[in-house]
Amino acid sequence: MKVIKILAALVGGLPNTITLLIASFIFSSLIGIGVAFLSLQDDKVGKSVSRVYIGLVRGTPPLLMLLLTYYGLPKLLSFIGIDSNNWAKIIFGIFGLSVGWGGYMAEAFRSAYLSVDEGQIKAAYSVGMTGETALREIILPQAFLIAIPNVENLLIGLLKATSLVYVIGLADMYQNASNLSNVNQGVYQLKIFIILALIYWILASLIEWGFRTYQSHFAHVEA
Amino acid sequence: MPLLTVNQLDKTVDNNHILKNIDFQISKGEVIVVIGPSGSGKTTFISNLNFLNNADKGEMNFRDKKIDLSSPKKDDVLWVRRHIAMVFQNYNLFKNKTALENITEGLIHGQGKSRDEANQIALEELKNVGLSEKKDAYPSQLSGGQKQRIGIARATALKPDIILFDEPTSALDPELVGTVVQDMDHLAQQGQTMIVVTHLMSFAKKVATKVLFFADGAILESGTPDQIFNHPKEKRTKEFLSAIAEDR
Amino acid sequence: MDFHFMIDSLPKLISVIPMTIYISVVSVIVGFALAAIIAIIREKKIKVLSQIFAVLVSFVRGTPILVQLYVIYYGLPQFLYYLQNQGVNVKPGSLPHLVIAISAYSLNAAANLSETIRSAYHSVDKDQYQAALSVGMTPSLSMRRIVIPQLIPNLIPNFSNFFLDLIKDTALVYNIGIIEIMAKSNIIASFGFKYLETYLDALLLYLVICFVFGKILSLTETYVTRRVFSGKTHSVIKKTPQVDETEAKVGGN
Repeated sequence: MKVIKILAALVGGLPNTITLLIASFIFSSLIGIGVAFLSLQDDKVGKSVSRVYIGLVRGTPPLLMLLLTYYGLPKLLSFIGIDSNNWAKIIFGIFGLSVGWGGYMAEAFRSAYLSVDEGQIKAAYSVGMTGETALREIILPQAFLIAIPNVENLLIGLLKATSLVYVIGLADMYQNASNLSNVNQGVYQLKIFIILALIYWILASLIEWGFRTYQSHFAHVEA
Repeated sequence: MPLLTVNQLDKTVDNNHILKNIDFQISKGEVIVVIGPSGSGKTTFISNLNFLNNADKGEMNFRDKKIDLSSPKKDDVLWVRRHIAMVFQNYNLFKNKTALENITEGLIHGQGKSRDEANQIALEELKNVGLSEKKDAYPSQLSGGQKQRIGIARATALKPDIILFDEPTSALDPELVGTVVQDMDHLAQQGQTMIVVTHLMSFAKKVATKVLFFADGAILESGTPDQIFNHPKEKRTKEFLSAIAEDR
Repeated sequence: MDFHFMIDSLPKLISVIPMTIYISVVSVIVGFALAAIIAIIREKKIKVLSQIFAVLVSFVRGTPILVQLYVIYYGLPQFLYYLQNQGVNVKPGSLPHLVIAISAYSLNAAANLSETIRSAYHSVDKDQYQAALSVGMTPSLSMRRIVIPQLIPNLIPNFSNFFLDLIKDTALVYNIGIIEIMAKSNIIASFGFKYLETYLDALLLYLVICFVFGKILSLTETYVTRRVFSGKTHSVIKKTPQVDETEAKVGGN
């Protein structure tokens, strides 16, 4: 089977893959920031909740996360009277991945925040900045830079995790490959999956290249 | 007859001519102090002497053996390191070994001595620097001054022909500098051949037999302490000396 | 929600835990051995090989494990056929699925762990190696006695993270016909469509497995760090009188 034909079939699933990736990245980042914030407060309840959440997520296979979301979220929603029977599958995909990756994001943000040199904070206060200003001008920008390598890894991990949405019947690149392979029993299967792998690899490399370029703009900030 | 001679030591890194055809020699018992501004190549220079850094060009004559500094033979390198020891600015004690073990490592695995012999020598060295009771302590449990003195003990235990000191007191609190300087003075009195890169002018004035002023990768001026400190000839030397107004 | 069902199903799921653990442990051991070799080749910058490995590592780390599983599933038999044609004595006919699974996870581990090893290696102060050379030790002795012992404490946390990820990734292996936790869950769940209940059971098991292994590795990390950098094997809080006396005399220096 011609490479072009395979590519065409796989690329058909690309929009879903990308949508899942971007949407989940955004939501998981938001969740991550929220949970990290919660874990850094002096509030015992907040701390425990965030710790439990992060612990849960770190011990759960992404596949299970998606399955539990698919089967469990409708049930939860029905308790508050929302009927999710007609919702597009992609919503469950995004939800599952976001909740799952939110835990990892929280860890990354939390540890980046804690890694900012204490001296920086002291210096900020000593020149008269309020807590809020210090946070905004000095701490968060630096924490952000420290977090970037980890976030990059997590984003690539998220890209790879999108391949799991086949389990809730969503048509992404992997699902297309799988269908193609089933339809064509025979020699092409290896070819199909190698091409699929190469596409993922290209996407991952693009992400890496993007981050590298972005980071080089900040090379002058000695983090 | 000089113990160690270096001819035309040259090194360039990324278009920076770090060492410019340096000629150098030292005889037994001499204490040569190297002073000069940061970035002048002093550290690169002495790290070439025990091959922790490699040169583009140059020849070494040590104990009547000729060695090519740009591509030395492995056996020659090991041989030199067993006779020329080094004391580092940041002590560089082996973090995963006790004080005693730091000293025995080189004796056993570098010079091939037996464990018993090595322990004996090491205990003796620790006694000399007054740190016998710290023999089982790990670097993480020692103060900077203690670490450096053990660093010196580690070097002297090898009974080297020459000891290289790379800014041995720069990383120490001022009040600890004195003890280390004392140890170094002691060594000099006992006739140890030493090459010392330092900012401590007081040490240079008191203990050095010769002072070299290093700038921009070359030895700009050399002479006795009196000559260099009191009658410097070169403009650069004068500038440097007056810039270090304070005697640390 | 059928709690009764959940409790009843647990023993059946627990019975397949050994398979999950078996695949994870064997793969990580094989993978680590390969990773060490790859890391050494890349750090020594051995011509041609280190470039090839750099590309392979990037490829494996940039592609989903699910896809890798299928590439090996379809590719390994073909590779064996190729070897057979070259005269190598192999039987590509009935390749056990377990071998395929372990191959895929091992290669994945090899790629990821090689990076982990490299970063732990770089975390050791370069000066430690220089100091070892300066007392006359050969480069290989310097590595063995000084550098490698110091990189191990740094290696363990990242190794632990990867190992836990590997355990979770084994949840995909049902795709090629191996019965472990996820496969069993699907089988049980289909008896009456109790998906949520079974998956919650599976979740519980994964959490426990990850917690146990995580704890073991964390304790190992503490022990090893203490052992390497302070010689102690457990924290000793007792103070010997001599030490105090001497401290007082010498002025606590």
